[in-house]
Order: sequence, then structure tokens, then C-alpha cells
Amino acid sequence: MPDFSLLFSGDILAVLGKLGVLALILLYAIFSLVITLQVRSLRNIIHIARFNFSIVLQLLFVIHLFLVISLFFVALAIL
Amino acid sequence: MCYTMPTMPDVFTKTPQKSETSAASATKKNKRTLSIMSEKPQNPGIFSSFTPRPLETTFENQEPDEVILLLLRKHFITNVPWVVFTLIGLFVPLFLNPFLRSDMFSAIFFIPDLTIFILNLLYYLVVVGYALTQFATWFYQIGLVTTLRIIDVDFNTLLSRNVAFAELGDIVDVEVVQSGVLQNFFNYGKVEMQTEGIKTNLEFVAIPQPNAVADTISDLMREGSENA
Repeated sequence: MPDFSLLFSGDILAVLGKLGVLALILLYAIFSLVITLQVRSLRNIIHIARFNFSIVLQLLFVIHLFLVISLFFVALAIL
Repeated sequence: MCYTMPTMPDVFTKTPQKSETSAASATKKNKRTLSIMSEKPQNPGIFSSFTPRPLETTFENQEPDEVILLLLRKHFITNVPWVVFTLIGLFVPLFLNPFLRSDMFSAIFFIPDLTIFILNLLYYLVVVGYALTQFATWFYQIGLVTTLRIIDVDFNTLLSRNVAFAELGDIVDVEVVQSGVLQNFFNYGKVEMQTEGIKTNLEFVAIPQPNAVADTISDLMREGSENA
């Protein structure tokens, strides 16, 4: 469990900076989630039985989303 | 007394070449109509922009008897701007980090090293996300020419999609626009299809071999009007 009291140490500007970074990451995570869900809905536009690259593309977006969410928790822990 | 009926002079005779001409033109017509069918079916590659008769390919709302004759995307050269932008973006932190850590900047606004590290990671994720989004937009922005209709899937952004359909019988005119050095050198351009009345006009933008695409659509239009 991250030590949330660290968020409140230091002067107000440092705290606002840390909160700003976390907010930025959170906003981008929400945007990534929306894009990932949209890509999922596009997979049936064109379907190639032999090698459906849509699945690979979806996986890449999911991995990207996972990394963004992980970054949020890492930032929460170390900032 | 023997009377010989005078023969009428020939005023007009049907020339034999006409039947040969019509037979030749019919053969030529048939050859023109079936030109796309003479193309070998191909597996569409990941980066392919022009695939005649794509194998094992289906799309949303496809009719049971509908066969895809052409699978089209924008020419891959249209991806160069965002690829270059992404590559440049990857090197931006190399120049920005020293500036953010400099005494001059720290005197105005001090950012801890850990925060700069987190911001760098976020920045690279944003760059990767941008590249993925641009590629997905290119990948899903397709044009399809089938035996029954023309389908155009357009994206303004990945969140905004416009799908247009047009029956082959509704198309009255096909026009090819190729302008500029790049389009002529790499042989890509725009194919505009005008439909009758107030129906939406379709256009395939920046597709490879636009003349071949226009020929195919014209052949299908001609075949449709002959069968009607």
C-alpha cells in the first residue's frame, strides 16, 4: 500500500505538481481505455481468416493500456 | 420470245466486316468486363493497400452472394508524415531533459528527477499510443469494391467513423484525380464516384493504382447495365 502521506509532504507547489502528474497519467489512462474499446469494436470491419491482424492490433492497445495503468500506480507509489 | 428480267443495281450492300467488328467488340467487351476476374486471388498482407480478389476476407454486413473484388487502403506512403513525427518525438526527451534539469530552468520551476523520470515514461507511452492510433486509423480506413456495391469506410479520428455504401447501379460517373509529383511518382490518387440524384457521392482517397480501380468499377457498371 503506497504511503499517501508522501503526497502531502513538502510545500504546496510540490504537492500540486505531484497531483498534476498523477492527474495527467489518469486522464491519459481514461483516453487509452476509450481508444482500446473503440479498436475492439472495429475488429469486424474487415476480417481476414488466414491471419487476422486486428487481434494483434487489439493486443497492442491492451498492452499499451496496461502499461499506462501500471505507470499510474508506480507514480502513486514513488512520487 | 425470251425476256430477261433486268437486275436492279446494288444501291447498298451489308458489308461483312460489321459482323466481324461486332463479334470482335463483344469479345473485347467480355475480356474488359472480366479483367478483374482474371487477376489471381491474393492473401491481403498487413501493409497491403491494393489487393485484387482478396482470399478468405469478409466484412461486416456482407451479403451471402457478395464477393470482394478489390480491397483498398490509402497508399502506404501516406503514413510517412506520422512515422517521421513519431521518430522525431522519440528523441525529444534527449534534448528536453538537460534543459529541465538545468540551473536556469530549476531557478524558475524546480522539477525533481523522479518526476522527470515519470513524465518521460508517460511521454513515451503517449508517443507509442499516437503511433498505434495512426496505424489503426490507416488499417481500418478501407474501400471495398464487391460484385454488388462499393463500400467506403472513413475515419476522421479513430472515434469518428463514416461508412458509405453505393449500389453499382446507382453510380453514374467515375473520375480519377492524380495531382502532384508524389501522387504521380508513387501512382496513387483519388477515385470519385458520382451517384445519381441526391444520394451520397463516394470517393476513395489516396489509393494505389486509381486508374485500375476506376477501370474495374466502370467494367462492373457496364456489366450491370448490360444485364439489366
